[in-house]
Amino acid sequence: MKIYVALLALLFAFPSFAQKHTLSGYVKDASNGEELIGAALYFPQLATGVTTNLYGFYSISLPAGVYEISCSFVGYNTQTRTVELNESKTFNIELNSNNIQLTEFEVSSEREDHNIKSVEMSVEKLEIKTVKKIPQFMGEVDIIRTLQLLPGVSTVGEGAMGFNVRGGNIDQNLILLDEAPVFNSSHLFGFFSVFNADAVKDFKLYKGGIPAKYGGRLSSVLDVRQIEGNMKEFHGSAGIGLISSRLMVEAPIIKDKASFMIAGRRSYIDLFFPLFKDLEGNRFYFYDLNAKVNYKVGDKDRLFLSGYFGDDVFVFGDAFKARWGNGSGSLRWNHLFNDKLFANTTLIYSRYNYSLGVPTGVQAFEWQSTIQNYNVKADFSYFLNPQNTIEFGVNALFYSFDPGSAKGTSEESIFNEVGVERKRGFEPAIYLSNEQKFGDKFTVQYGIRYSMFVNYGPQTVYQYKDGIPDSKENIVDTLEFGKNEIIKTYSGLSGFEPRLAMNYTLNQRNSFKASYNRTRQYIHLISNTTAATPIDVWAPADTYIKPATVDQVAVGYFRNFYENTYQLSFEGFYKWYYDVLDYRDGAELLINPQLETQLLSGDGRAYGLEFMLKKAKGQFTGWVSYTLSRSERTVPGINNGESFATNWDKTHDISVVLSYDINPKWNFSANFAFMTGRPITYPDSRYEFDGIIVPNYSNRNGARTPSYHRLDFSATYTKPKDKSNKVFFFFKKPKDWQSTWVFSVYNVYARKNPYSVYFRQNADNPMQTEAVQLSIFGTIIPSVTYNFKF
Amino acid sequence: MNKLLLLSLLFLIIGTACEEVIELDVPEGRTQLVVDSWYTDEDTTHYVKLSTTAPYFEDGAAPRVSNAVVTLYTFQGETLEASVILNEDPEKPGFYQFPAPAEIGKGYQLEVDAPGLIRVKSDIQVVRPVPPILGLEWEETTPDFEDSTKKYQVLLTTFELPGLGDHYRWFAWVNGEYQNKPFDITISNDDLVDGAFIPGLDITNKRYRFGENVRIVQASINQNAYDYLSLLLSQTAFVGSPFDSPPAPLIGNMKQVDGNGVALGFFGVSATSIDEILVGF
Repeated sequence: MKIYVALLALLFAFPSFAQKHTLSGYVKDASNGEELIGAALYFPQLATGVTTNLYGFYSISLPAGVYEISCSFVGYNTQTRTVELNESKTFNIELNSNNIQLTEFEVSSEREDHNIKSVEMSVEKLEIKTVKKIPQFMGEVDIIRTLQLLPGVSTVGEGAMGFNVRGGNIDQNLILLDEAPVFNSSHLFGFFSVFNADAVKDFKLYKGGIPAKYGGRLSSVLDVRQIEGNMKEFHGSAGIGLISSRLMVEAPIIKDKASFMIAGRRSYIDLFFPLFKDLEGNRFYFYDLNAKVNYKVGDKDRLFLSGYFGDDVFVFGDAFKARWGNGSGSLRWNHLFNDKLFANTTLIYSRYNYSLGVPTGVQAFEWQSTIQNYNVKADFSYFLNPQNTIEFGVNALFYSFDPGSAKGTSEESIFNEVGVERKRGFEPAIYLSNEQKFGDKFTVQYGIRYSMFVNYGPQTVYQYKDGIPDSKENIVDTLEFGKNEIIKTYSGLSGFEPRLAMNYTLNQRNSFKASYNRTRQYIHLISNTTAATPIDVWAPADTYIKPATVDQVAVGYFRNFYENTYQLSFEGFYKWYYDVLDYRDGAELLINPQLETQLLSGDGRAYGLEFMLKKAKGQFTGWVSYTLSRSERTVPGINNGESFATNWDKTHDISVVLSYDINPKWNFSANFAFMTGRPITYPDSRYEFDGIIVPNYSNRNGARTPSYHRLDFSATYTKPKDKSNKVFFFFKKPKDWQSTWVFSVYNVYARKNPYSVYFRQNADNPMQTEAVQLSIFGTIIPSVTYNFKF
Repeated sequence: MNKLLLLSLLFLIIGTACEEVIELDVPEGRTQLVVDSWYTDEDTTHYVKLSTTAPYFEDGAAPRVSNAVVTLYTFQGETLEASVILNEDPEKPGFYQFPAPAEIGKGYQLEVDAPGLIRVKSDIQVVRPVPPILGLEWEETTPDFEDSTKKYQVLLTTFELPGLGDHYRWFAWVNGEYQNKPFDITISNDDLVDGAFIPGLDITNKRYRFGENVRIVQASINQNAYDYLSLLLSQTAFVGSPFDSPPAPLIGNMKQVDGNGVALGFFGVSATSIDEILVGF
């Protein structure tokens, strides 16, 4: 008897095997149909929720019942809806931007506690409209310059390409545009980035706690997604600035089923050159072209085709010409196997190449280099239940490196052909991770990624005396590898990259987070100058170059005040770098078939504290960010084997960004940046050789340039809607017409910020030596931009 | 093709970069021996100049080193043929005189033992053959924007010896004055031009005026001399741009006899071919 009672009790004690159904669908912008990435759907009755993935898709399995859903996303009105879940169903939500009047379902709050609730840490994410209000250099809205105002992100100076994240070199950032890697994210030596902000929907920078689905670079992931294209109506936006102009148009091809977006930008200062006699015959410009088409094949399938092309072009009459640029394309297919399993398969091609040379004459030559990347990947999201979201996938990358070839190009040319042969690599990876919620206070994302690298032929490999590639003179043998023959493989246990991120939410206002990740990088940008140049080349891991590895731990405390008006974050990180590349003194890196003889390998570390206080709501918004950090390396063969600061080590990095909406017409913004000077090497004595005064250096990066600080202002005037029905005097005004004027001033107090200090003989008196400070911008730089939307 | 020069040009065009001379305190390092010697087959007096380092902002000639024992060893292949001690010139402290010019095909090794400083010895520098300068000619070029006086280029015609591994340096004198600013270091290897006929090369990259006397010495140098001079060029001439190479100590070929130390500077040897021209005539 007792047994029966016990069994019955057990039956009732267990949670009823109530029917579970899956609710899934997409969250989109009501006005244009753009999917919203990371929108939140919260079920207050169950105190649980889910967020949309990179394609705006969500899925959650719940017991049958009637539920209230609160759907929110930053910049949009929160909607409260009710859904009856008695079978698995699709439920799509379209949110209205918070510029639009509220309907009965909506409140104008934002998802401001995302920073407390989500397991993500070490992530920087900004809305494009916030980015557009910040004072910009030459009025050009630039994602990468804006990221530098956030903690943990910096550059070595104005005019430096790329950016540094938590002590990492510029080649350690995985920059993706619609999943295609971008190898050089800068135009004009880093003054502008390749991202036309009008074509960008969303961007996110991971500085640490990198999820398992990303790999291949050590320090960060910048995931940029382009606008899909308005599914409902034709729209566009454009801007005319002092340096460049841009135009973006988007429209449906088949309403609510297919749409496209195309955007272009070109700089045009060179169109004025023919006016100046000395500049005639010279050209210099950059351009970008972004395009995207998306097609909703059916309820379960969606196709996206994206492309990007951009170049920098320089021509000095007949004396010299150069161009460099990226080109990439991706074809993606979203497929819903069922309402719990979402898959995305992508085919990608990406390349960066340059060519430069002298077009005519006895010294005519052309020098070219390319890196190409072919990639096939499949990423799956499996929404097992509200407590577990599993992600897994595979990735296969093929690389082709043409490090450089130069040849004489005219009949009379004295130059022979010289070059470095093509190198090839294959980098496969798989990953599996789960984000699991334990109760409502503790969330953990744990995962593992496994990657490896194969360098395969045809290729020539040199063998050196004792196996040490220290000089061309020590070559003892040459091995020839044939087509697809494996030269070197990096696999085994070192290919495992564990990833872990945890969030312990104390309450609505406070949380603690911690993360650990290990990342591997199999390709390196070969550059030994302070700032990378557009003609630096990438090299794969091979017989002599090892892959690099980083272990990073981070802990953080996050707190919101006054109903999420103020957001505070405080994070500390520590990174260990293994097998990073450095260069021999005087290394010859260009077109060198024995590149390995110029390279050295060492270890490094970076650590720091990042603090940010942000005011997110109200007329007056902005943030203060402060980073205290150290980044150093130890490389046998440099600095007598003692550790030295990296070129991008910055002790203090402070940014203050303020934005004030005076009224619906005017907004004033200011930003102030302060950073410790960057490390440089001073001579400790001088001597004479062949009549030249030579500085004698022994302590690498032992000193610093003076500090950097700068103030910028901008004012944005949004023309109020008026009764007139014409624009530009002739054209009928489109109903959504809006125009703004942006006035900005860069470097308001005209500080000559030191970029570097170098040492030279005085031109008139060679016996006298002097220290010279080089500044990139020595004056105040104003600009005006006119933007309009239609 | 100087990558850094080209890039610096590009950069300057687009930037509003500016420079200013500043006052700075730099640390003082220890005193080191400097050996400065270029021994060629030119029929003139050649010297080894010995000096020491000085604090960076101490302007004035480098302190000379006197009373050192400087020995020259002459080799034919691996065989030591002769060794001779060089005498210090009584009128020029720190200058030690070679007894005769160098000879093509011979190898030379220098040893320096200076009082109070380390004892150093070079490697064996072999005097390699040099192709002759076939001719120098002047040619008018476009005048500058600022002044309209006629300007000329001096063009050199020669040929490169077949067989990879040759390195060259060119020295220039204008009106008897030796051109020795950092940008005057002109060197080349033969990677791109092996065995080629070189017509009309603007080797000095300078503009001359009417009536200037330009004397060019085309010299053969060894691989390690080329490497040293390349590094010297990047450390002294190609400075002041964001694309500078990191500053590095220049290690020459004067190594400590018993120990790991080095003396600064370089001992190089060359065979030479000399020509001169009077611009405009």
